[in-house]
Parts: sequence; C-alpha cells; structure tokens
Amino acid sequence: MKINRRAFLQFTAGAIGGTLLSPLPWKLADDTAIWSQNWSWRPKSQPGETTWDYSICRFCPGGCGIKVRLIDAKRAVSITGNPNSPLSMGGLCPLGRSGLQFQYSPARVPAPLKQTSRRGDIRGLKPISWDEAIGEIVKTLKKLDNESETNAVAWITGDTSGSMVQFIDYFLLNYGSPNHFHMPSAVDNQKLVNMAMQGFNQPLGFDIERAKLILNFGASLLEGWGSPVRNQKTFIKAVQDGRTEYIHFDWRESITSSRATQWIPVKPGTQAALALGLCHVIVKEGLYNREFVEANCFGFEDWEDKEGNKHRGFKANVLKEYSPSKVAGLTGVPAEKIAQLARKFSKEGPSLAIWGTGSQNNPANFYEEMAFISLNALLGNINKPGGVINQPPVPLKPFEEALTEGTHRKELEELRIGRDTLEEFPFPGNAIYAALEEIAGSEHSQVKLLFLYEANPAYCLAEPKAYSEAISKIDTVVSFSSFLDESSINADLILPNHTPLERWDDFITPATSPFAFYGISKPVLNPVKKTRHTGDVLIRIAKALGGEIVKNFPWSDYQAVLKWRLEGIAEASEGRALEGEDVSRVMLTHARLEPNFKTADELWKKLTSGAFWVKLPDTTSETKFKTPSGKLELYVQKLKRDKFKKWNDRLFVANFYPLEPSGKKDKFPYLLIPYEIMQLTSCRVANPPFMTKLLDDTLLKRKELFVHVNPATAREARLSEGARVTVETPVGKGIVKVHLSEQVAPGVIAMARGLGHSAFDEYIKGKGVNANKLTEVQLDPVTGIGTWWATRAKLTKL
Amino acid sequence: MEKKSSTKGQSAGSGFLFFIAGFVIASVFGWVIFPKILYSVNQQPIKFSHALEDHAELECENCHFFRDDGTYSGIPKLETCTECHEEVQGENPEEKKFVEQYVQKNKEVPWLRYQWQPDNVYFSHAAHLKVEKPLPCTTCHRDVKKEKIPPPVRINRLTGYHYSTMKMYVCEDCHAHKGANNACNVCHK
Repeated sequence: MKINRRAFLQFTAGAIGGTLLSPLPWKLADDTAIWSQNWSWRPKSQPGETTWDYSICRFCPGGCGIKVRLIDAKRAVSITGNPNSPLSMGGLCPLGRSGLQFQYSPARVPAPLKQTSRRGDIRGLKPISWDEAIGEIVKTLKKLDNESETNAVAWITGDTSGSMVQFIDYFLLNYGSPNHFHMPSAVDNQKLVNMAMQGFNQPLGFDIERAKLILNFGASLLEGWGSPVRNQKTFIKAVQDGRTEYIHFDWRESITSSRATQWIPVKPGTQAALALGLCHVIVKEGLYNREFVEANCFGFEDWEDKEGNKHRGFKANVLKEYSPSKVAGLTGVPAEKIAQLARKFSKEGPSLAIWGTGSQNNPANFYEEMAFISLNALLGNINKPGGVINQPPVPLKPFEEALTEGTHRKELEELRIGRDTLEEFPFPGNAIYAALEEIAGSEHSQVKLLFLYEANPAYCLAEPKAYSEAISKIDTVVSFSSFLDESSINADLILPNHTPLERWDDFITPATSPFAFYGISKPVLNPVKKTRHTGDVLIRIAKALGGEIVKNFPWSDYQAVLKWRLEGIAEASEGRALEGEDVSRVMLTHARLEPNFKTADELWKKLTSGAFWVKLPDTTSETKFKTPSGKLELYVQKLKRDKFKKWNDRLFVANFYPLEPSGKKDKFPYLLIPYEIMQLTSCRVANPPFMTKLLDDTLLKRKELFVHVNPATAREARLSEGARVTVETPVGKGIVKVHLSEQVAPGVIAMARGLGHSAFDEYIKGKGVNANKLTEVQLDPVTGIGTWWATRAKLTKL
Repeated sequence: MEKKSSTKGQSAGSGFLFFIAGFVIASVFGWVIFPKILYSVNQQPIKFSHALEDHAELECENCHFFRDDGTYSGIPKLETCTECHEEVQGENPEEKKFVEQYVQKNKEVPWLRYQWQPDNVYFSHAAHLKVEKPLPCTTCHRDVKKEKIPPPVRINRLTGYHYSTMKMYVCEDCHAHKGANNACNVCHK
C-alpha cells in the first residue's frame, strides 16, 4: 500500500469526519466563549458571609457616615452611605464610594521607607523597619532638643476635621515647638471674620433646613461646598417640600446654578459688591430689622469714641458707596434687578445669604466675608431659625487637661516661624504661606525637621513652588502619608499611616453644619500593609524621648486618647447620640434633643456602633456676642491696632476690596479661574479610577485637559473647538486644549482643579495640568492668609 | 485503459482504509485523549467523607446552611467543622490530618469547588429551597450519601470551570419545564 497524495487526502477526510463527530470542536468552541470569565488577573467576587460595618468617610472635610460591606469580616467590597448619619442621611459622593480604590491602591506605601538617593527618586525609597524609622526620628528630636533648637521642628497637617490636629499640637507643645501649620481652608478666614464681628472663634453654620429664600453668592451648594452630601440632601428636601426658593449668583453655569430657581450671572469675583448693593437698598428703603440692628449691632450708625473722634458707620458707608447703579457697573446685574432682589430678600423670611467657593480649601478675603455677614445681620438673621448660625462647640476634653505641669505656650508663640511677616497684618491668621516664604527666603532655615500629616502641599497648595522652594532649605522631611503622593516622594522618610478604613479617628462638626456634630470613625478592616497609626507612633516617640513628656502621655494608644476626650461630652451631658432620628425634621419641629447617655463608656458604645452625637444650636435666646461692644460689630473695633492708626473708617466696615490679580492686562488679557466638580477631587488624594471614568470628553480626553472658554472670547483669540494652546499666567504655564462653552463668562478661562498629578498611580499620573501651579496666591491685607480666586492669563495657540 | 481502471479499483479499496484510519484516530483523540488533556485532575486537600456512616447524625443543613440574611453558606468554613472536630475523634487518618494541619493551625481548608457559576449569574439557593416544593439537592449536585472519598476535581484548563459546572441551557430547560420565569434578568441582574 502506497501512501500517495490521494491516500493522504482520504486520511484527512476521515480525520475531519472523526473530529466533527467527537466533542472536541464543539467543546472548544463552547469553552472559548467563556474563556475570558476566569482569567487569573480578572477580579472575582469573593464567596463568604456578608456583614456591614459603620464608620465615617475621611477623604474630604464633609464627615459623611459610611456603611462598608465586608465578606467574612475581612475583605471590604463596597462602601455606601449610612442612613443614620445626621449629616449625609444615607448619601455618599463619588469620592466616598470610591474609598476602596484607595484601600487597595497600587500607590499605597507598603512599609516605612527611607530615601537612599536624592529626594524625588522613587526607586531610592527603600523599606526599613518600624523600629529603625522611629529610632531615627527620636534621635533627631533628641539632638535638636540638646541643642535647644526644639523650634526647628515644624509640622503641616492636612486633615483638620478630627482630634489628631489637636493631638499633634499637644505633642509639639510638649516637645517645645509652636510651628504647627495646617493646609489652607475656607474656614481660616471665616473664623477670623467671625471672631472680629461676633467674637466666636468658630466656623459658621447655615440653617438651610428652615430658610424660605436662599441667596447664594457663589457657593457650590451642590458640588462640594462645606459638608457636600449634607448640603445636597438638605437642599433637595427643602426644594421638594416646596419650602425654599433659591437664587444663585455666579460667573459660571454649574450644576448648582442649573438647579436654582434663578441663576443670575455676575462678573467674576464681584459677589461681595452685589451683597453691598443689596445692603444699600435695604438700608435706604428701611427694610432692615430695626429691632435687631438697634439692640444687637454696633457701628450701624455713625458713632463717637471715648476720645471724642467721630466715626462713619456701616449705614453711611453703604449708602455712599454702593448705589445700585454703581454696583450694576461692577457686577453686571441691572440696577432695577438689584433693588428687586433686596426687597424680595427682606420681605420673605426667613431669608438666608450664603457664600463661598467650591471645596473648602480656599480662604476668602476678609472684607468679602464681612459683606455677607453684614447682609445677614441687617435682617437679624444671626442664630435664628433659617439664618447664619454660630456652631455650638463640641465639649471634648481639651488636651491641656492631660498636662501634669504648666507649659510656656506664650513664650513658644514668640518662636513661631512666619511671625515677622504676619506682624505686618492687623488680624493675622493661618501662617502657612508666610512661614514657607520665610523658610525659602532664609539662608539657613530655622526649620530643620518638617513633618507632614495627611497633607500633600507639593500638589494641593496654590503656587506649590512655595512648598518645594521651602523644603530645599529643610534638612529632613518626614511624611506620614498612606500613599506615594507628590509630597511623600519628595520626603526623606515615610512612616505610613493606616488608611481611614484601618484606623481609629474622630470627626468634629464640619463647616456649614448648623448643629454640632461628633462621630467616631473606627477601623473596619485589619491593616493590609505594614502601616501604623500616626497617633500611636507619636505616643511611642513621646515615651522614647523620656523626661517630663512621658507623664503627659498617659495613653496606651490613640484609641485610648479618643475615649479620654469623650469624657468631656459625658461630663457636660449635652446633646444626644442619634441612632437614626432625622435631624432635619427635629430642627423643623423645633424639638429638643435630650442626652441619652450617662457615662463616656455608654456614649463610646453608641458612637462605635453607627450612632452620631449631635447638639442643636440655640436659636431662641439672645446671643451674647464676645466683642468689645458686646454686640455684633458692623464696624469692627478689633481691627484697631496702634500700628495702623492711619486707617480710615472705611477699613473697619464691610467693603468691596477684591485682591487685584498681578500682571498687566495687555499682556495677560484673561482671567484664569479654577473650579471644582464632584467627579474630580482636588483634596490631598488623587482622583480614583472610578471617578476619572466619570469625566467627560470636554474635560479630559486621553491625557489632555480642556479649559472652558466662552465662544466670544475664543473668537477674539482666534481659537476654535479643540485647539491646543499654552495657558500662561505670571506664575506658571501649561499645555491644554480649548472647549468652547457658553457656560462660562466671557474673558474667563475656566480650569478644573484636580488633574496634573506627578505621583500616585498609573491611572491618574500625567493626565492634564495642575491648576494650582498656574494659580497666583496673594496674602490678604488684613489677615496675611494666602488666598486665591483668579489669575491673569493669556492663551497662545500651538 | 484497463490498467488505469484496475489502479482506480485498488485505490478506492485502500482509500477507504485510510479514511477509516483517519476517522478512528481522530475519534479516539476527540473522545478519549482530548478530555484528558483538557481537564486537570486535582484531589481535595482532605478526603472528606460525606457517607452516612461517617456523618450519620447530621442533616445536610447542619453544615450547608442558610445564613440569617438569607444567603447560602455553601462549603462550610473551618469554624463549622471545628464545632465537632476540635480534637481527633475517630481513627480515620484523614481526620487526624485535618485536625493537625488546619484546626490546630487555625487555617481554612482550601476546598476545591465542583460547582460555581460565573460572576454575571445571580443564583439564589433560597429561591430553590425556601419554597413550597423545594428541589432535592441532587437535582443539581451529585448524591453524596454513600460517598466515602470525594471524586477528583476536574478543572477545565481553558475556562477554569469544573467539568460538571451547569451551563445556562440546563437552567433554562428546568425553568421552562417547571413554568418558572425564563427572562434574562431573573439570573443576569
């Protein structure tokens, strides 16, 4: 038998027949269809028992209650809102929902790392043991102490929402350094203005629940202002119940403005002028609350001081300077409309004026906030239902009570960095920019050791070069970050903190909340990396330093610190641990909240199993203002300083004094204004992949950021949709694309904040431009706080 | 011409043989060898005996129970086994191995699963058992009443599923016969 071509073909035909009648092709075809379902790198759902645990989200200063779904109590698979939270009422923003992407992020710091090469070289960061890491810090701290240079230690804290910020302060006080700074926050200025006008060192709350008319002077009420989810929920409830009419003034048509009853476009940065225009009409037409103003306000009328000098009051100033026609020119809102709004605002009560910007990291300027508080004060809208509220303090035990002997806090104040710069300001506040400037400008930096806690100044500060220039003069930078962010990469030592889901922490009343709030955020997971709680590390360092400090740190760990502080609330016997009661309804019905706990242990148990402590504001009795006059000061006497004798009366009352951006108008014809949206975080962490997926193509396409420009402005600059341009400001530049949009005011370049990261993971690194790098910071002339709102800019086509 | 035709006849006979040879070889490969290549054969870490004489006093539900929230526990965790086997009770060497290697080390047994459905399938045991006429377990699972040694776990190297994993048509078929809803969203949420 010869095997020839024909035989071969016959054999092949037989083999094909045999194969077709066997399961092989059919099974393979079927298997191929489901082949991709079990790829080893594809995430799979975990079988196991489902449980839920409760905590508080810590990715922004909002304080939302979270509910974490766990499998077999050890693997977290989803985060949703806790319906019992009086702040977030079951809601949660995209950032909170993406919390697990931080937990299991490739950018997590796996263990303590030490830089063995030059700063910024990520490959030079080598793991060391915790004992070595802590040992190194203790050695440096002891050395500085021996050389009597304890004030060479400085600290920057980013998360100021809990007790950690005060614990760090206490640690530094014990060690002997006053140099504790925190990242800029909207409440920095608000607290000062409140202190000046009302005498309370507290941020303000807003009773949105009970207001019938809300005038919003630029606050992103639905997109990140204050406690974002609380504000959204409260607003939606109020609108659904038909209780609230809402008018929004802004230069950009945002989600917030689109939900308003009326959106009235104004020229960028002129909202304070508009508020003063309303004050003018209200005063002129006698529409203000005469009873409140006469009994509770100082400096409304002209007045005479003890020396017999006559002073011009708020009334005369506002009548002279802010006529509707003049304000119309400043703001672009017609004079008739201003008068109409003023009448509406003073007639339909309770009416509330709110203000601010996007997320809470940009302090406003002093006079701007004075204007809004003055407008509310004219209607007697202070500590009243539907008004501006002074948040009741949370009576936690102060750390000073743990001191075994007196310290010399005042003497320490003398050693504060940035003090020389701030002496030029009558009412100084957060000194972070002043301090960084002084460090950068000095030949031999006073600061030799800088700590960072939950702070990423290398990215988040507007004009971040202020930070990089300063650290070039500092010997050692130590970061406690859980993530390899921009600042950690440029640190010498990283001592990673547990993530918020792995650690004990607490949350104290967020900005804009009208009631006092306290909650415990507890670990719902065991640590997945070799991390340690920064609070525990501080206790260990304090004990290793030896001497008198040891006595002042009686706690075994940070959890014990929290329990100890809680005793303060139990002793005060105020407020109530809410276990699901609807706080908005309680406020609307003017009901009282009686304490439902007797001991700190009892309260601790409630707060660690999903309850939250709340104390409602007192809106019925008269407010006792802590000012020199004992009244709310429309003419702020606390601004008086011997050094500033030449100041005229206009500088003591609310006025429209915007900070003029630097640069010449002919060279930089436009205004670059950063804005924030809920799908893009500009906080200390980078945008997680879930949220980056939500960004549309007119904001980020592949790696390019789009700035939004009005078509009229684009025509003038000869730019078409999608054009690639360089945006240049006096402080920096970047390459972006242009999207034409009627939603922004002409002459403005609107740039989203939150992109342009040079660290974190492959999902966000190198995408877009960091708006902070292009944003100019100016020190407020009253407070010395670094503020920003707009920067002059030009567009050059590429 | 003649020569040519005889060649043709001879070729046709032997050609058939070649065809048969090809057919047989391919069939043997397709039916016998291919499945052996396709499935990896794995043994359970512990030869657990379901047989009644070993776990006589137990009902299925003692170990394979519904949790309080209505979800099904599936393969028991170490905790469930430890309720009885904290210490060695009998003479079965597998039990000794179990106690020494897992109970004493507090380590979960990495049991291999015979049945599991893809992530895009929502299968509820409760919907099939907590009903008026519950299905017997053996409708879908093997009968384990007399099983002294668990069968080897044969995993498809291509798909990762066990060879006895039920396919969608089995579900659909049963749903159709029993008059249950066959809409997509019943199983694919």
